[in-house]
Amino acid sequence: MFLSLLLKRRASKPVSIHEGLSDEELYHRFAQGEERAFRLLLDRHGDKVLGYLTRFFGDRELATDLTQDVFMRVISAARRFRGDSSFTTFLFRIVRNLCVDVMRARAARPDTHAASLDQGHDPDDRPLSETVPGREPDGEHRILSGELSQALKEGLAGLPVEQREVFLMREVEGLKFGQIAEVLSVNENTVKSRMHYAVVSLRRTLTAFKEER
Amino acid sequence: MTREEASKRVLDYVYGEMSVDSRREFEDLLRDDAELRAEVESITEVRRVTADLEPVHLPQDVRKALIRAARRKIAVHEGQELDIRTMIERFFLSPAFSGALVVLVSLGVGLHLILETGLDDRITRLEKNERAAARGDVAPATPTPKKTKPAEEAEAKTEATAATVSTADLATDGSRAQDGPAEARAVFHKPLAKAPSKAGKARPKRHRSRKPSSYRRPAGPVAVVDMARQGVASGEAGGDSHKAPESVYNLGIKTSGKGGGGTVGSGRAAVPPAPDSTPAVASGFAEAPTPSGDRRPSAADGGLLTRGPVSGRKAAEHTRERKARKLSLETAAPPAAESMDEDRSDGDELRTRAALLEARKRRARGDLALALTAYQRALAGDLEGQDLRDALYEAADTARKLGRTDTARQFLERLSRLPGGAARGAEMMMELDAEAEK
Repeated sequence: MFLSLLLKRRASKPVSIHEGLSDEELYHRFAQGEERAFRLLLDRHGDKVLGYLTRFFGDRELATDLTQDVFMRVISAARRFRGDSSFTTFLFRIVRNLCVDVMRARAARPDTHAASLDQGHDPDDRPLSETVPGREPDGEHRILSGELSQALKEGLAGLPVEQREVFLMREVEGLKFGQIAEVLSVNENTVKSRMHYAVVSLRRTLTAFKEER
Repeated sequence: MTREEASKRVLDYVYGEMSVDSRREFEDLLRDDAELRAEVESITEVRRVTADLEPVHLPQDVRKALIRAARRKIAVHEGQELDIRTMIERFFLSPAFSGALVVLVSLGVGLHLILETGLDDRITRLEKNERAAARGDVAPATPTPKKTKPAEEAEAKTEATAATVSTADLATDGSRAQDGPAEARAVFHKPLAKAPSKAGKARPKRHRSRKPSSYRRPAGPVAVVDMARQGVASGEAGGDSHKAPESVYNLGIKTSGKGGGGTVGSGRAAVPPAPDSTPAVASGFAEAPTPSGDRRPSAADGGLLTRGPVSGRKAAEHTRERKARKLSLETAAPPAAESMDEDRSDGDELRTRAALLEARKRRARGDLALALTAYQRALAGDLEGQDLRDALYEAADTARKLGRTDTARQFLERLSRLPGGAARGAEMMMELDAEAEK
């Protein structure tokens, strides 16, 4: 009787007191030395960051490495987080800075596959990451299985970085325009404007895809 | 809301960042404006396609690596912040410390129990011996050696011889008499001298024999057997065939040294010789003089404490004495009677001297019970000459002051048998008699 109760209790997922806490409180607790708080933050934002980076660069492997880098920076910066901005804003500043670093590095080495994804406004101008011979097809090929998804991916790849990042932050991460403005350190209207152009561009791409079909 | 404003706020409407009122206005406008509706529809279509993108999940290995990194970071931070107090607290709370503490406590308790048990055993043995001695059975502080086969054989033969001893000639000691010839007990202690033995060093055996007897104790005084004086001896022991001299000591003891070293027996008991042993001597409580005129100490000296029924003051004395004995066992060396090995003779002498010194100190302080115990220990050792006479006199005086007249008399009797001790012994004996009359 007692054993069955014990087993039942163990089988049921333990409800942590951390789960009701905000991201900021969790990050603060992690800074105080609670490993569990970091696990929860990782659960909440790990997939989102990876999804953002995967769609931003179109390279799953790179995105995974960059996600690891992002959270390593999150770990390192735990003591310095003052809570002036939200954790999400703080996190996506790190993500954006990393993206900028990677794109700068790619710009400095144009011969590699790491050319910027925003090079091709023309639908035929596919990113290098997809055309470099000998390179295995990245995870995104497997992920974007539907044709529309493929068209959207191409449309995303064709967006300027500013528009792409705004679109992804809004769509993938669910950041509000105000938060995006804070992350990018720009006016909210600028963010909306970029978003507008991104949506118009993607709509055009999708329409073109449908017309081709 | 104008059409222009509405087209600017399409995104707010689609992404739900519009107030309720604005939303209502926008929807009113949307109902009438097909172009605006198409725009909203196209954005919603993009959103829907985006939402259909296959979700990605962080690989488990990356997740674990990140958690490990976080753990390391926490450990480093904690290590940096730890002050001495925290470190000490952590040390005391650590499993290693708990384990070590448990082991130490277990060891301590175990050791304590072992020591306690050992002491208790010895004390119990001493008490048993004393009680037996009080009945006239055996000498106190004489551990029972294990019987050897030859010893048992010798004992069987001795019994017959010892049975010839008449109880009439036995010295009286207490209020209870011995059962009879077969019950005549003898006390064995150190040999008075050594007989030559080809087999090398002899290790005299002390032996206590006690067998159940069918005799009933008749009322009367306790008999003390001094077989040496009775001149009755026997001892045909098995083992080595070294013959002992016909008369080993100048004690009038006859030995039939057929076996290894010849055993001198008395009473029912016999001293079993080891195969390579020299003769051992059994004597009664009274000490037999050595050829040199001096005497050897006996375990019975002072150790033979006759006690009557314990009650009142006597009981208190008894308790004190027990405590003293326990204390002396803890502090002092083991009784000299236990140490029969020649190699240990120096140590025995030192212990004897230490016991005598302790006895005198305690007597001077007025701890008479403790002093008496120490005297008994000293007198069980190798005291000789003037030291022995003084010790006996002091022990008798101490016993007298404690009201243990019988014990005092025993010491005095022993003293009076020593050369030069008769006068002192007689003097105090007279005083004792006078006190008894009073």
